[in-house]
Amino acid sequence: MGKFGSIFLLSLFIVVFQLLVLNNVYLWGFINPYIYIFIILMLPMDFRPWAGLLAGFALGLLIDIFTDTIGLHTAATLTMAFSRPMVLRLISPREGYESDARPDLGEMGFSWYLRYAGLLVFIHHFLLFYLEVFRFSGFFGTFSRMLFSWLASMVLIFLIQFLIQKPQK
Amino acid sequence: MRNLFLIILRYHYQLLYVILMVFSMLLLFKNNEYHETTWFNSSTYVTGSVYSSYYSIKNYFALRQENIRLSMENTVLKNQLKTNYLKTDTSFKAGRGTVQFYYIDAIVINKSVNRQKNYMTLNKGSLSGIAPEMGVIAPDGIAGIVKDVSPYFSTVIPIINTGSHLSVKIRKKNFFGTISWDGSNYRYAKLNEIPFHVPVEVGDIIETSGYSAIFPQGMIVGIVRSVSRGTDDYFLDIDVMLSVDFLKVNHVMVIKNMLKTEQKNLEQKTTNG
Repeated sequence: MGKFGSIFLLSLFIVVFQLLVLNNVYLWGFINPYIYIFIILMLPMDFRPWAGLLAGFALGLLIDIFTDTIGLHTAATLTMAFSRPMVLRLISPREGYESDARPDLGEMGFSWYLRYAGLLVFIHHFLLFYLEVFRFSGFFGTFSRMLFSWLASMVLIFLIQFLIQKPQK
Repeated sequence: MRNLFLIILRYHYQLLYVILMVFSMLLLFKNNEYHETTWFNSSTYVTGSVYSSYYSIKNYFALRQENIRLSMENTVLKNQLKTNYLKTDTSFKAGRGTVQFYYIDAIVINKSVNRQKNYMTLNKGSLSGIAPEMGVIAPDGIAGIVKDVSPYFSTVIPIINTGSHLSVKIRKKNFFGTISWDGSNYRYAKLNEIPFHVPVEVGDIIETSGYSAIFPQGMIVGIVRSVSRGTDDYFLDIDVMLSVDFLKVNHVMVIKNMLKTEQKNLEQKTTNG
């Protein structure tokens, strides 16, 4: 039961929670938060990029199979996993990351984590919503739906971060 | 050759992304074109049975509300019994005429309301007599039309799917139009093709026209919520509040039209001249 064991268990829990609980939650009739992408967010920083791609692809496909939206979540999650190394590079501290750093709220601080999760969740949601309607007419209607979902997902991601936080030494 | 390998090795990350992305796009578009792709659908065995067992737990908590709705429906139906009607003539017999519409009850085991293309999955399929193109009603109104069936499950296109069109009319005023959904709020739909001169009022009841041989005539679809001139040159812009709350739909009935093939064949014959 090492580092990857606990990541796997938490992932399983998150996927089940997404499929059976969150997919039935409709805030104000249309906002559906997506928490399963937290699994991509919590991958260790030294996780091999190509393995990250495969993880994103498999995760998206799993969600798609259970929601009958085959290809939709796959494309969005895959692109999110693809952009993760770039986002990490973009927002790296001046002296770079420490060798054993984890993308974690407690370790990296609030403003770093907000930029990290905010950007990646935005990329995911943008693709998800625009691929679904597949047109740019009514751009702002879709955009506002996306922003509200983004907000709901971000709140949940921060809540999970607080929940799994290890007590400070 | 060696250079090619070096390039592949160097850009393996980008290449892998492009390959996987193309693959998922193929899945997405194929699925959009033909929803018959049953191999990943929730009417397939694994996901279907997961949702079945999940439903049995979830359903337990909705029992109370569901009972109230069903007993209300029962009252309405009892009021329509033939024995309720006054017999004015001694020769009157409550005989068994030809039954045109036959109802099959089913349970919704999976659904969505927040997408553009929403679907519902029912727990019965072709073995229970369900076939594509049959109507589906909830206790409080029209729900949708069956799309695909497998032996034990079937999928339904509800009114709240941007691809759904339903032929309807305004009760007592007998003007015909179609109901479609614009993809925003799952409680409201648009009534199209009603010209300016029609005196539509807020509160008018929208019911099925019975033209498509899918639903019997006069089943409730919704109530007019607002009427305006809108941007169109000929037709009114009418918002309809759907009588079915798709978030709460649990029990539904599938309508089998026993005379549908007869009607279709006859119509076919006439059109072919």
